Amino acid sequence: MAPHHTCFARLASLMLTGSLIMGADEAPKVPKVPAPQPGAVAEHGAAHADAKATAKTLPPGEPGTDYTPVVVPNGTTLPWKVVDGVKVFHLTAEPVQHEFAPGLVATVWGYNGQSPGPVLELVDGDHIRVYVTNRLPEKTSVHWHAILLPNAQDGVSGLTQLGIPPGETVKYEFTVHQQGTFMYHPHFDEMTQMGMGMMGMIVIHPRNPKGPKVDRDFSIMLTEWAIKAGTSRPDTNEMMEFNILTMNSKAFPGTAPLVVKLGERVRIRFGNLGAMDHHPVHLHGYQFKVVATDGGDVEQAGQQPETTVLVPVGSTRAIEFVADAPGDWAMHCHMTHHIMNQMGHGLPNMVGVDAGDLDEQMRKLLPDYMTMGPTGMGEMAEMGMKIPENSIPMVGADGPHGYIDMGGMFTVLKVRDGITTYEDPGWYAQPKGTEVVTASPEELRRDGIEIDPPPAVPANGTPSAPAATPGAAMPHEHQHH
Amino acid sequence: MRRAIPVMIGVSVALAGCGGTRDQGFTDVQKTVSQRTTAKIHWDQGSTEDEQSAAAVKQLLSHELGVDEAVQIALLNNRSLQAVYQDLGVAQADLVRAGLLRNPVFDVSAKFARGGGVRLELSIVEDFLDLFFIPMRKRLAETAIEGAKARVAGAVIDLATNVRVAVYRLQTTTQALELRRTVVQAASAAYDLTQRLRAAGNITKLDLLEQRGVFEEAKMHLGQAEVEVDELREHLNSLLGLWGDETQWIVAPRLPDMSADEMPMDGLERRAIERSLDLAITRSEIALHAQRLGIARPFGAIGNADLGVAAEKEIDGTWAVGPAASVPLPIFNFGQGAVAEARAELRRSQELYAAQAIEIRSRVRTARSRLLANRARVDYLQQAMLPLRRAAVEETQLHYNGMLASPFRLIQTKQNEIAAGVDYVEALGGYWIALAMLNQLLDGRVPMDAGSDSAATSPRMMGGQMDRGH
Ligand SMILES: [Cu+2]
Repeated sequence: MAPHHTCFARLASLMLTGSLIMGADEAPKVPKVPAPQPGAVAEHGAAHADAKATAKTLPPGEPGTDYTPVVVPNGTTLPWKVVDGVKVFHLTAEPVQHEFAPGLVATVWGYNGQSPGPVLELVDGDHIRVYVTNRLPEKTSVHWHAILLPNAQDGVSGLTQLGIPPGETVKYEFTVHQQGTFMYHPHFDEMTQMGMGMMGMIVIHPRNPKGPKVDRDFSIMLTEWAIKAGTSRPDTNEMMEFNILTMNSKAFPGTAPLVVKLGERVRIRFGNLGAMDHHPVHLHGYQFKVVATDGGDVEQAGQQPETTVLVPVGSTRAIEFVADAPGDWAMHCHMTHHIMNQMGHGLPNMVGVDAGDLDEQMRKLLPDYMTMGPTGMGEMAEMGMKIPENSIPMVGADGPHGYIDMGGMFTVLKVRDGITTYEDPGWYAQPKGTEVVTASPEELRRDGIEIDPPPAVPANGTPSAPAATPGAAMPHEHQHH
Repeated sequence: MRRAIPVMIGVSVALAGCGGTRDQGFTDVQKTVSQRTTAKIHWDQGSTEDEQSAAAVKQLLSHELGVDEAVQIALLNNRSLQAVYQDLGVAQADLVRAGLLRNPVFDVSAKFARGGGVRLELSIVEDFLDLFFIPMRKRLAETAIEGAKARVAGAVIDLATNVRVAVYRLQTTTQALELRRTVVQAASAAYDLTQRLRAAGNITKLDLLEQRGVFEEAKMHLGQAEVEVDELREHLNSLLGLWGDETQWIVAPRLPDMSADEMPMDGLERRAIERSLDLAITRSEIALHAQRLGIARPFGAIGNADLGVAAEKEIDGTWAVGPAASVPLPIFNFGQGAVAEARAELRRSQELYAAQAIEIRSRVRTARSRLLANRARVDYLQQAMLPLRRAAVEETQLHYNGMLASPFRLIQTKQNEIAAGVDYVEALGGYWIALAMLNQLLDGRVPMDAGSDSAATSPRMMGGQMDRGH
């Protein structure tokens, strides 16, 4: 255990990210005010944002005519109504009973009964009024992340507004003059409130879209939680050991698949409001372009081809590709610990341990004892051993070809030909002759593949040979007492 | 008076013939004991019944010993107890002695005359007051026998209690030892796991050494517990009067469960007072002192008065025979000293009796609350602690299954459960010992608990010291 090293590494990466964000972000500059004074702040901040706020307001954009609505796997879009040309929304900050995946329910905080909160879907030029009711036990506020707006609307408790006391409702009102993917979250007791799940995506469609039409437009919020196995509330004090990694607050197998018709143009918008981790999200089967950040569209010439997009904390990324390859394609964070559910830490490393008659000895005391993980952990999950209630350690899901031993930030892009709805089409049936099967002796012979006889001690995965194995060096340690 | 002597001797011979009543005394003790315990007692006196008694001991030793078996063996086989039975013989002999007249005093003196010839004076006198004392002395001796019987019965009760306590201690320690063995087993499994981890190259040599330290320490503690069992067995060998091959007995390995309700918890003080052998002993002392006072009153001043025959042979050879008497005159000593002494002794024993009764009542209340406290502790461990520890093991097993808890933590939780089991066994043993102590009080004996403050002022130390010869 070396918490200091880990801590240092995290700090270092955080600082690096900080500079990255600063470099990439074209959002309003933080006003250089030495000592913020109420009243004075608005004037200073007005230079950039307030100038834009005075730009032209357009009639409310309508879905279908002005834009194709986003698809929110495991989530919803916030309904609105038009009052005198203004889109009116209502967000209620409140505690929520949330299921992360079958087997794990916890009390989290969210908006309108869900975490993440519903997606706020707008069109460039919309004038919006958002009422925010606080049903939390403490104050809150809503910050409109990366939205260019009058300073007073920025939602930073203490800096630009009073915190919203429990039970009260405030009104935010502004016109949006940008398009892209943004986020909203509290700016009061952020560590607690965001650690508890308070966050949501904002999608602003262009009034006159350029470029090829996007058929399927997905919105996915990434975040991380510390929920000790067997508990039912995130521990927001946790700084290091996040054990539930989510897409739209769901951990696989709780994540809904992204269903797409063959040949459709797909956009996937990612936001990351996790506490401490950036997520390199990798999509199998495709090359894609990163077309936008929360700072705006990336010029076409600068759209680097990728298969993995790094979504830093406090940022959004939008990727686009044409779904021309049918199949079930994994899409997941590439940090391996982020595709596990509620992993235990501080356990002895059992890989390669020869259990011998240990289980027999142990069962005299503990009848249910079984040595765990001497050959690795890939198959631990599917054994269906009894685990603490309301926990999903090592839980994955049955797949079409055995058990999928992953959890966390993992989902499946399902690209199908000939589907008429976007209902989950089930598992992909691979064309005959394309499956991976055991190589036949004929094939091996044909291609001149020679297989060496298996090593002498395959059981614990330790190579049999060299003289200097730890066991051979210390025979006395094997004596029993 | 010449004829009077053989008469007196005859009477005393007749009384001596009653010497067989020392069996009667033991029968009374048997009766007292049978009201208090189901175990039988037997006095080895060279009869055929001795063999039966020895056979019974042998028979009992061939099976697993519980508390009742051990008590029975001790009551038949403990040599110290047999020695105490001899107190009955001594008391009985005192009674015989009390029935005998003092031997007469024969006096002879010769005087040689100047002209030759001898003047011979002969007298034989008997303390005639002794004749009046005999019945009184016999009553005293009989009273003393009552005291002796209570003391002997008390010794039986003490021994039975000591055996019970020793058996419960042995069972407690044996059962705890079994549990401690599983602790070692757990430590051994943990050490085995570390060895395997080390062999796979997954942990450091230091980790291995530390785990081995835990294991070796557990083994060392086990060794200490084993010595304790041996010592408790030896204590029982001594109480049960066993040696040689007889020491190979085995004890029932588990303490019995608590009895649902061991006895009604009210009226205990009265019961203890009514059945108190300690009080019976003091009562016999009071009676003795009262009787002594009764004797001192009329005869305190006189002490002895001789009556006899004197004969004188004159020089001329003629014999003169006549009566002789000597009687102290109560001029200076009216017997006040003897009466005051007897009265003081009586008062003292009466005060001690009251003190003893108060002490007994207090001891009963203490023993009662100790018993109830032990019962509550056993209940608590059984109903709260053990299920708690068991549930913790089950839950840790689930965490282990989910790879959320290490095998070492799982083993540690199991060891905690075992430790709670040891606590339970020790509490259960404490309960049975408390019950045995309360029963000792209710059977009429104040326990001699060494080291307690009250031991110094216990009735036995005050009232019993001077009277208890053994
Ligand atoms: Cu990640």
